[in-house]
Amino acid sequence: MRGLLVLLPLVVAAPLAGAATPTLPQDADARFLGVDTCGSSQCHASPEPWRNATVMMNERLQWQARDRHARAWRDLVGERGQAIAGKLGIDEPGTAPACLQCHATFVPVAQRGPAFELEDGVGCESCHGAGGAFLRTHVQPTSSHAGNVAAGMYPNTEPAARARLCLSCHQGDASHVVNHRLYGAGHPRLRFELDTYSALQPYHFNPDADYRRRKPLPPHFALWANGQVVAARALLAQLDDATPHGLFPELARYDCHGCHRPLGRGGNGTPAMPRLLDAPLAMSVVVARVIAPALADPLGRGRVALAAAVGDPAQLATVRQRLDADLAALADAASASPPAGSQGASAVTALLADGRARAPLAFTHAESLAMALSTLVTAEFEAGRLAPPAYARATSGLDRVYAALADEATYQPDRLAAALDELAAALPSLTSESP
Amino acid sequence: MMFHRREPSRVAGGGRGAHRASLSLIAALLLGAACAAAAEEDGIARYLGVKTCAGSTCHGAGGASDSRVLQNEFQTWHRSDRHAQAYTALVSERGQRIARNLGLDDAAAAPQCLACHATFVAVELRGKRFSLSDGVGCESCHGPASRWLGQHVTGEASRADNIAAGMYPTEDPVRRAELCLGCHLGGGERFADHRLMGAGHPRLSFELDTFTRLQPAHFRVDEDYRARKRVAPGLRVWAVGQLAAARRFLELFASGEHPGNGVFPEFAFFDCHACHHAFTTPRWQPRASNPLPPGTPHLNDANLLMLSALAAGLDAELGMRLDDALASLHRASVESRDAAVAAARDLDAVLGTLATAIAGTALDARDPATVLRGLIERGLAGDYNDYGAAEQATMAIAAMVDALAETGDIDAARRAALTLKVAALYDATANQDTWQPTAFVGALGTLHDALD
Repeated sequence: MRGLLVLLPLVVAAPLAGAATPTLPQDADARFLGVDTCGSSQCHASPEPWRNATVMMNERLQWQARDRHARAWRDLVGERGQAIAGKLGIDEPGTAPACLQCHATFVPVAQRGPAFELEDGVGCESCHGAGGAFLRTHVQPTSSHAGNVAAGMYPNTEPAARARLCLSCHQGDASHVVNHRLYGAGHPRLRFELDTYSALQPYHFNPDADYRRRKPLPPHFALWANGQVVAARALLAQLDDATPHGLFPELARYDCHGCHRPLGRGGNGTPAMPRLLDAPLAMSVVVARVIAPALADPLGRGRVALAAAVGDPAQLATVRQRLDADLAALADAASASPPAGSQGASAVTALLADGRARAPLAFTHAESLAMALSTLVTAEFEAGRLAPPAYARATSGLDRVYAALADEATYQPDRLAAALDELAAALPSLTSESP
Repeated sequence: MMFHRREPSRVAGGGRGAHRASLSLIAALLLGAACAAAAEEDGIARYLGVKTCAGSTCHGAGGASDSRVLQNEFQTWHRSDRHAQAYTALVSERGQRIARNLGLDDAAAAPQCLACHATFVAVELRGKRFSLSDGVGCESCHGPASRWLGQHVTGEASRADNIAAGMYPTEDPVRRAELCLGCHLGGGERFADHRLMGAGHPRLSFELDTFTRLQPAHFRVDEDYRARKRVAPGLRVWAVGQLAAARRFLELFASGEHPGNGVFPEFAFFDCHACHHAFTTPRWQPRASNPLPPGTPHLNDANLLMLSALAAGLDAELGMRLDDALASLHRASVESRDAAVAAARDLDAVLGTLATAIAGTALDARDPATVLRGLIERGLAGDYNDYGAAEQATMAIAAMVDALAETGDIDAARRAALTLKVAALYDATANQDTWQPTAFVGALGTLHDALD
């Protein structure tokens, strides 16, 4: 009887959890067939896009020529990669699990097909899942996207699922360890915004009518919003290492520029305590203002409480729990909320209001804000909701916002504030209507 | 109606032609009488204030005297010694800004600021002419004057008598280090924590021999000075200063009195520039003295690195023990607070041995040269690539060159030539934010070549 009572919630919970969080490609229990398998000349390695196909068929060439994921493994064995590895005491970064976790489709040897090569870096199956699971379904003339996903293809059209996948490396998690030791050895600082980075990757598909017949095309707002909420929850999960092991907690969870600034600029009243790298939480508050206003203030308070709890470990667990519950509710709201054309505009308005009210902004916060504004304003233009002249004016404002963030070492919050004012003035049609 | 006492200076206003000895005698007698009156009869050591010492025929002369003491000590302090501006700094724009950032209304009324920026003593211990606004004045260093002023002005008391009556033995490097480090590193109520730094207080930096010279000295070390006071050679002053700083640092760290804030330790114990540098090309390099991986803040080991060079120069085995203990401290700092405290105590025990060794040796003419070479070689090997270490090494090398001149090991021309090379080290470390370890190592190489 006792055993049953314990088991029961698990049985009920398991399918729900499975539906909400599909297994990440790298964790799939299937064979990985390698880039050569997908990227043969008959399939996704056509030199030219096909005219009468539902997909472009030149995806491999797009990836190889323009997508930096294709260079992920080569970066490890390049001069910089070797230098970083050397400082970490790693002789061969090209075979070191700690590096390969994110710089290759790193799966157990037993699951690697004959055409699989680690050297392909972050290839097709890093994002789309193990080909061994879905290839047979996929190559059928009658194949459908839903059928492929059911067979094990990763559902990248679901914003939350894509966010979890990308952030597993671009923010790190328990199995993709991103720590301050890595940074100290010279690894570049991580920076990510799902919608911006998806577009910059660049996309290797053409979202035309037949694409949309087969798969949903997630709205830009949904990608941005889910990216922020998932990142915020990932940060909370990473705070397990916020408890010091030696004298310090894991410093990679803290805002880089809070400490990394020359002393010559000290004495301006900046707090003497490190700040959490909590830009995704700040962004999530804005997401809530748009799709779940009742959650916005609790999340805002939670963010403040979390910052305070860093100095008071006894509070941390409670604060984290409450915040994560609010974020989970926001995530539910995000997936339940039907896409509406007004969401992007509302978010831009709320972002500008929030960013201008909170000046001076920490650099990483400002960076998240800039990427959000840029991608959402551009989406408004693409959707025809922002006229070309207004978009041209907005572009000039966005350029100034980006220019203010061009160099993190000389970043001046005042310049950013002026650029935000200019952008707000350029977008009266968006900013006049409050969300 | 106010009761005005006649100022000794007016009595002594006989003009420049008057015989200085008789003037001094008159002044001494008068001042002695005045100060005997000022000093309470209860035997409590009271602080009488700068004005009491700075009579024009005592220590407030306009120019240097050819008597035993310069007599213009007040002028030197007032014009050239930054201690005289310690209180003014509190009421300056910057001082007030720091205070505001700390949530204080007025730095000049805050005990935590006054503790180091004035002769901050209990109100009942302040004499009638005492003023906090004098900053770090005569009695901050020389001790409360009430119990020795009388015998001091008559000229009859010996140095030992004055010290017995409460004058502070500043000529003893051990006691001097204790005194200076009380503020220049901290202890007890005084501690420049990271909160203070974050509010805008400048970083603390100190080396006993260099700072004694730069203060500047308001005394002349000549024959009669040496007859009265024991003068420690520069190498000893430097060594004692480093030992005192390192041991005080370890004690402050291990005491637990400055536990830090929440999940973070007190940052003031760590190398400032390990964190406070702009994002530039990666700077971390493996270092013999520090086994920690990249991205790991490390305890400020600048003084300990200096002592490593000293110990190795005196006794190779002791040098190795010190290096091992220092590496253990670094390793323990990423294990746990308890491990770090235990390692700090172990390291302090090694420093205790070094202190005993120094106390029992003459630190003869050979040693400055040995220490100088050790410092240069370690610097060339990249051991001083932290700004704090480079800064200490620069001051140490300058002190060693002066020490060599002091012992007669090098002549004036050679000293001038070497001082020029040392100036390049100062140039390389002039700006803590933009300094380049490669430029520092380059300047060390030039100095190394000049020594051959």
